[in-house]
Amino acid sequence: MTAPLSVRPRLLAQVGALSRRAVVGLLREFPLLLPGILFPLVFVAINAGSFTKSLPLLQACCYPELDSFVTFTLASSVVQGVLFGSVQGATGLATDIEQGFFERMLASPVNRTAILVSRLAGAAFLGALQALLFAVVLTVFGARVAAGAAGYAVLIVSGALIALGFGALLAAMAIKTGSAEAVQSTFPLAFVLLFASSAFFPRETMTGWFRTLADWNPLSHITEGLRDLVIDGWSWSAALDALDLPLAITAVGIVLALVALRRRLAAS
Amino acid sequence: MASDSRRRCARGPAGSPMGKGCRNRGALGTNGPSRCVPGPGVPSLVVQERPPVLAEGLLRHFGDVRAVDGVDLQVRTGEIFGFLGPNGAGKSTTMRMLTTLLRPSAGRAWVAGFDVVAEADAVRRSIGVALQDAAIDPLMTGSELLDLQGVLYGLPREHARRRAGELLERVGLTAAAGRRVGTYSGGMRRRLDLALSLIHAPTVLFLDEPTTGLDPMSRLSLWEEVRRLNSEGTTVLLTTQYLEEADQLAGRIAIIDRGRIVREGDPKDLKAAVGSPTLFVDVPAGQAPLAREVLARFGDARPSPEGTLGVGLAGGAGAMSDVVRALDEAGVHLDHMELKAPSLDDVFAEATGHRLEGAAEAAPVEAAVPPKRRGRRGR
Amino acid sequence: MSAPVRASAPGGRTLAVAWALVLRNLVAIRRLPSALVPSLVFPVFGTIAFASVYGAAIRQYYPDLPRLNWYVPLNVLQGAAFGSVFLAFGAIRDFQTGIFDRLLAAPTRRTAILVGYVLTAMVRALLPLVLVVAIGAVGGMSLPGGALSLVLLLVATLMVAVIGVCWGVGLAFRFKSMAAAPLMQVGVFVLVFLSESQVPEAGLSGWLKWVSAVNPATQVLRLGRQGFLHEITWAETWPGLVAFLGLFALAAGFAARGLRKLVP
Repeated sequence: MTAPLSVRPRLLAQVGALSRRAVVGLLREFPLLLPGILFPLVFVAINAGSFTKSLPLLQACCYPELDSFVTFTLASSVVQGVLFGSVQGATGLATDIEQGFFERMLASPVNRTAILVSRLAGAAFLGALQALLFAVVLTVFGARVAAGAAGYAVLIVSGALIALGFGALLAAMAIKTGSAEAVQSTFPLAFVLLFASSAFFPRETMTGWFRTLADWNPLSHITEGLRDLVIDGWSWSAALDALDLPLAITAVGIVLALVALRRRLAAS
Repeated sequence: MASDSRRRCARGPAGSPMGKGCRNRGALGTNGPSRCVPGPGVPSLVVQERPPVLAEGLLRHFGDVRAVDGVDLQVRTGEIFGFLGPNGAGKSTTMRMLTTLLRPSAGRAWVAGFDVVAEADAVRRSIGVALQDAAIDPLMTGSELLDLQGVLYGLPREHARRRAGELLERVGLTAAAGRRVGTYSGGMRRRLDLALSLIHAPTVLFLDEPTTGLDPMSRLSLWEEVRRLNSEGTTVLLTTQYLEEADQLAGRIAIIDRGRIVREGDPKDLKAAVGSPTLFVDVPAGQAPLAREVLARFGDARPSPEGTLGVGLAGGAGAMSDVVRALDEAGVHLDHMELKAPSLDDVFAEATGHRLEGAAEAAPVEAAVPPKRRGRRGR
Repeated sequence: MSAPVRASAPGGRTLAVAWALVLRNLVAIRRLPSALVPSLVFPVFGTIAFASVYGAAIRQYYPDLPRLNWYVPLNVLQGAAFGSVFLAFGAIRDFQTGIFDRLLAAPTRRTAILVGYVLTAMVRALLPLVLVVAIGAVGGMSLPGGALSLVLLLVATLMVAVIGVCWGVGLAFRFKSMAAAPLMQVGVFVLVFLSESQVPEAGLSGWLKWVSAVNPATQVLRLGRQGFLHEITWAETWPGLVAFLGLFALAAGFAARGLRKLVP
């Protein structure tokens, strides 16, 4: 009797192969990613046309150095685009579960954690790509990043981390429900989360309970950190704001996703 | 106005009150009896020349693909006509053209005496349609759908309600009528679909693969219903990929493949035209040569599974007893014997060179009847 | 069995059929909450969010008016527009379940099908209207133009619903699948937002100022919003009516042509 051909696979090789699959899959579904790219850009265009004349308001309350609404909106467009894109990444995982590919992986000697990590790696890569794209496009349209190359770097890393963090939270949901539709239905929630923050207009101009809501919303702090780097220039506190919260969300998300995965494996 | 060849009349199907000035030629005349589609206050025209369904050179292409490639078809009044073919043969496309849901690229067709393109509205009033996917709204109840159908056909409300009740009882859905259709089983959906297509008492009923996906009991039940409708005078054109369905229900069939009709006629005649049945005989290995010699007297050898001998029985089933006697006289011990009659799959294979997909009774390729052999018909 | 009565020619009066389809569509909406809730939740959320986020910008132009006065009409119209799109999703579902074939195989005028969708959209648009206006009233909205403000908002809402549904079903007739969904939404989004959606004309700049000026939806929005900003005038009303007639002619023609292409 001949020995089986399969040998014990290496974890890194598994993660690499599955990550590559995740990224290639996302890129091949490019039309599905387009809304996450085009919608924020359209929003920027509309808001620029609507609020350029409101620059004095923004200068008076928060950003005396601000000279372009496109510069103001760069941070929020990155956050918005990456947030919408992370829904798509988690949908891919739910689709794998629905179509049985997840079971196929479970039936193979793939490290269970690698399945999750590789999905998230794909999401992070996409997030970084989106952040870079928005930064480049809006720079062409007049945005200026006062923090220079370091500012661009933080934008890209933050974009990757936001995608990773929210992607992990949504992955937990995908693993728990096994339903792409359920994951997709969180899209409106992402929209609500975004609006109930200072992503589109400074918190200082808001009043009442909505202001309180925005104060507590992590997206407000992430966006403001990025915005400060873009408008005011480099500062460690702004960079930290833009990075620590996404990291914290990532940690929570990964824990939840691993718990969901463990429960699913125990149930099957 | 009416030409010399036309008369005004008001008439319903067999058994219903006849209007004035109309003679009934009988239900099964080859040229088709008079057919009327009366409407309230609208004079009806009797078209005597055409059968319930007539198609001449029907063609439909989608880009470069000719889904239907010149189909000539004639369905006689009061018959069940089967349209048999594999997936993608053009059955449903032909059906959709005949039911005015698709415009032909070329050719003409008349249904209930009306041109499917020029007189589409009159066609729709005369036909009932149950398409490949049960066309039902899962959010509505059975009663609601029947009510809506009544409105779509302009039936008086009271009459529509009464008719809906009768149809629900007929298809066995009275108890489920108040439930949402989304909760129905596959068989129930099909029955409701049938009821919807009958609300206005059509003279011609089109059924597109009516039992696909149904369990055997539901299938039998639907066949029964189709036979009953036909016995009441409804002409039925049904498409199917199930040989048994075509065999059981249809008085005549047309076999379609790649958009063209390759055979047409009575299923029995078509099968008989293919050739004689095949007799398979199992004998002990040592006696095989002797058995082969004996069997050669009764017909040509045919391919058979290993360990079995096959012969095309020229004398048909009646010759089996002769075979048994001859083998016995030769001292050959018979382990097993089986006679397989030609099937519609064999008809299809002979006409097209390949088997019908999803055949209910796919004969093994080795035991297929020999190509193009029109043997004597068995008694 | 009772003696059969034949289908009447030309088969069901158009309005009777259209109304039967309206009832059917409304039943479907009621029984599928997932199709209804988003088109109600978004206008409500949008009203609150937009007023809270961008309210400071609006204050520059209307310092004496509550911020909700600007955003309530916008979100009512947005709700009507997207509600119509969701209705068109239902048309796609009808294609996929085969129900549409049943409608087409019936001896009814094709107009009845289209009229059915239009009437349903108009009825459905009343939901966000009532909901958002109620939210606005609770939030302190005022009516400088008096009760007529609500009438004009109703008129604008029905206009937008009709245009939106004709656009949506026109695409549904052509695509017959959810591939048309993004196009439906984009079309409506562009019409509603490339206008004085966020700020009045005085606040617009660049390309958006020009697009808004030529976008007929801007006139419809002005018609519906004027009573919430100031006294109602004929000068701000008639352009909206004209714009609606033009948009309706285009959208209805688009839908009718799509329907005609489905069958002979």
